[in-house]
Amino acid sequence: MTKPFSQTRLPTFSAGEKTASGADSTNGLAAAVRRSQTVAPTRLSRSLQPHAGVPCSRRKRFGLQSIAGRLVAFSLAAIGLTVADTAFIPVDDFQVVAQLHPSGLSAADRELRSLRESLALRPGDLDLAVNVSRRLINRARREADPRYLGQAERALAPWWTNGTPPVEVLVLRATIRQSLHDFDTALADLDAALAREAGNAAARLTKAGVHIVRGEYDQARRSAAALWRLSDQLTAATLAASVASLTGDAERSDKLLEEILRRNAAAPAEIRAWSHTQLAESAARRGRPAAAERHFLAALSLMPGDPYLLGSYADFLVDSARAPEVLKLLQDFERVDGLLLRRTEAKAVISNKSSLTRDIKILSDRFAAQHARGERVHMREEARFRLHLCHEPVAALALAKENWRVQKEPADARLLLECARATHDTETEAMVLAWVAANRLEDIHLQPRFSASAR
Amino acid sequence: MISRRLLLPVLFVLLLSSLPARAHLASTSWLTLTVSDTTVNGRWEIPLRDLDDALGLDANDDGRLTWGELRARQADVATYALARLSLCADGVALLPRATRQLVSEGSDGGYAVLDFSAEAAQPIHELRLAYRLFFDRDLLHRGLVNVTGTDGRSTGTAAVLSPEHSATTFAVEGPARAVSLPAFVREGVHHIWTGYDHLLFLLALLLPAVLWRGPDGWRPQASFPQALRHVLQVVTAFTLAHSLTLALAAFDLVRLPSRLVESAIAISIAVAALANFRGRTAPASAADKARHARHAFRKLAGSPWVMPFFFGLIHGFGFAGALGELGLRRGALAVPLVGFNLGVELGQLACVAAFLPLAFAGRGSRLYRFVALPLGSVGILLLAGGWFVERAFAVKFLPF
Repeated sequence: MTKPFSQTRLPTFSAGEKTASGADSTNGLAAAVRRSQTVAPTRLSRSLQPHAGVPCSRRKRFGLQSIAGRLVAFSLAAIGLTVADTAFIPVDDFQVVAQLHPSGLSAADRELRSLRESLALRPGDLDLAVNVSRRLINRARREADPRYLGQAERALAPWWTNGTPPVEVLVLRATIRQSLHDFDTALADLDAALAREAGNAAARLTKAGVHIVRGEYDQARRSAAALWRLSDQLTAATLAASVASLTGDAERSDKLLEEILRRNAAAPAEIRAWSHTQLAESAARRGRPAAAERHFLAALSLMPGDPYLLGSYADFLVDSARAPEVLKLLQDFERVDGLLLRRTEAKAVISNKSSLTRDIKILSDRFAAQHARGERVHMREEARFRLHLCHEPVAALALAKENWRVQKEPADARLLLECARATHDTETEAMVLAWVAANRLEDIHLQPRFSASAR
Repeated sequence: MISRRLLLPVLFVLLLSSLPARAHLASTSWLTLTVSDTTVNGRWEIPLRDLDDALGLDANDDGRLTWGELRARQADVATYALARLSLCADGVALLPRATRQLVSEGSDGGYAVLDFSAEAAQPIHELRLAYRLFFDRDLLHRGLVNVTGTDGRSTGTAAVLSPEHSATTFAVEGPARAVSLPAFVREGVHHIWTGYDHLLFLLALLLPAVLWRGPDGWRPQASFPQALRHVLQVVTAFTLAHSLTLALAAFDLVRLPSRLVESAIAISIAVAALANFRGRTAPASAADKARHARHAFRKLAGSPWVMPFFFGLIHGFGFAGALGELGLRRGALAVPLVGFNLGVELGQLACVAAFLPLAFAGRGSRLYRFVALPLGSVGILLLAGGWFVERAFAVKFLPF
């Protein structure tokens, strides 16, 4: 049962309704208790631009005065807005108030729970902590829910307070930090781990991954090269192909990877899924939709329902003018922000107005909540939201630029290019295209426009 | 043989390319405190998933938490949560008492809503809060605290509590809180001093104020009082006009889209700059005066107060946006409005007072008449043109 979401408007002159603590529901009624939603920022500063909680509000001044100021404003305004404005007492004892495990409690879930209980009793047990942490990180990925990353990090906490943590702990924490896009901390941890154990394959692999995301291809190549002697052929080949396909050598490395994939049909599903995803994305970048489709479907059959794969596939479908398929693909994944975003974008592309406003409102609330927490991790998604759904290219450009400072994947370049073109920022457009050319990145979506001057 | 130890990093390299790992909101609780005299009332909204994780609320372990299951453990929930929140009023610890529990649905799942209250012996001036909910289980959990006054208005104090910063202190203002006029005056001053477009509009009007257009070009004004009179007419007209529209907008009697207002402001600056090339003429003789009287429009246009007044009306709507950002209540607008306006005026006068003596001293020089005035006006014109394009077409190419 979903309650209506916050209906609050921008805090304006009519702000400040009294907190209604009187008119509550009793057990006999399911009436909603109206809570004061208007958190009017009274900090007397011009740099505050509150517009959280209102889908795609109009900004008074174009151009970002201060990202920090905006965020503080978000935090002030979002508090109280993001959680529903209706707290109530349910009538029925059997009414479900929370979905704890989306698909029921599995044996693995129960096992994890008992392991965590054991860990609570013996927090200094390294093997137990590492085991629990790994499982939690896996769960975080499967459900796309970062609270398990926080729990995983907490499980490893005892080794951070006393002296040098073991290499395993370093690598796990680096994995957690990297998935939270805290790349600097992750790299520091990985370098520390490799300094002590140069042959640690997991560390090399993770390090290569981080460098790829940051567009540091030379360093990625070095780490990838080391993996040939540290791990199996398929993993090493996929990593090598990841780098090569972004630096002008896509055709050759993809052919090689396909060959190695064929020969390693018995490899674990996760690694094969990764190989197929790499091949799919590379094919999509090079404008080979049939090959991309083939590999995406292969990856999805190996790891069905994986939120990350679904997101990548959804992007490919929209690019291939197959947006209606995205709606079906992502219809059960509303709680994952990135997938809700893609589904809503697809709806907007095919002009499907059903619940479009509601979805935009949900997304707006979720971004506001991120800001309220003081986090800036979702800049790529938020920039897409602002550009495609809110039609605020200037705000989107600012976010895309901030995002570019942290990560430089083809998707980030593409977003930045799109925003720059939408705001006619030729300097940024030229910068992105120069970066693409310098790295010899082959991507049909990152091409210079020949009629740029006509615009 | 492929080592399974690599599976985890592989999975994370895989995910890097499409979604951020935080595709979902991390564990967040929302705590709203209302302080009135000696009482603190709180409403704490805590994600049910995290409560279940800590307390095992799902009695039948079917992965779904029902209201009945939650209700059965209400006492445990209250004890657990309130034990991890400590409130101190002026150094004296308070004992929060749970009063009621409800549920709510957030954009990311169900929340337990815990209402509580705490009584202090004396009126509360300072409230210190130490928070440690879930920090022993989840390092990414955050507590978002907001303090509201009794009128429901946020006092503007808010905090994000994390394992690194788990305590915060709020100053509580007395019940008979006077609205701070000086603060609004300061805000008005700040707004005009950072409002480059408004300042440039004034500058465009004031550049020729120390001159007059004689039959053979610009001539310096004879006396300071004359120049001063001109300047005062300009500034007063501008002030009256923008006060008027600021009040209209503040009381929500007139509402204009901000894009229109901003673009119109840019146009007004451009027109003011353009007018400097036309110049104003001081009638030298009775015949001239008669001619001027006949061309009423020319006369109006030549008068120093017309343009500032009409364009000031538009600028007032521009100010209204900034006042609106302060999020004031409709009933309590008089003092803020007066204060803000006063601030804007004082700011303007300060700028004029800085500009006028210099301009008056330099008015006779060729540098002023033939360089500063025309080039300055051209510069303002170009800038205004750029702003117009930026604001009307939502692009950005100027650095400011």
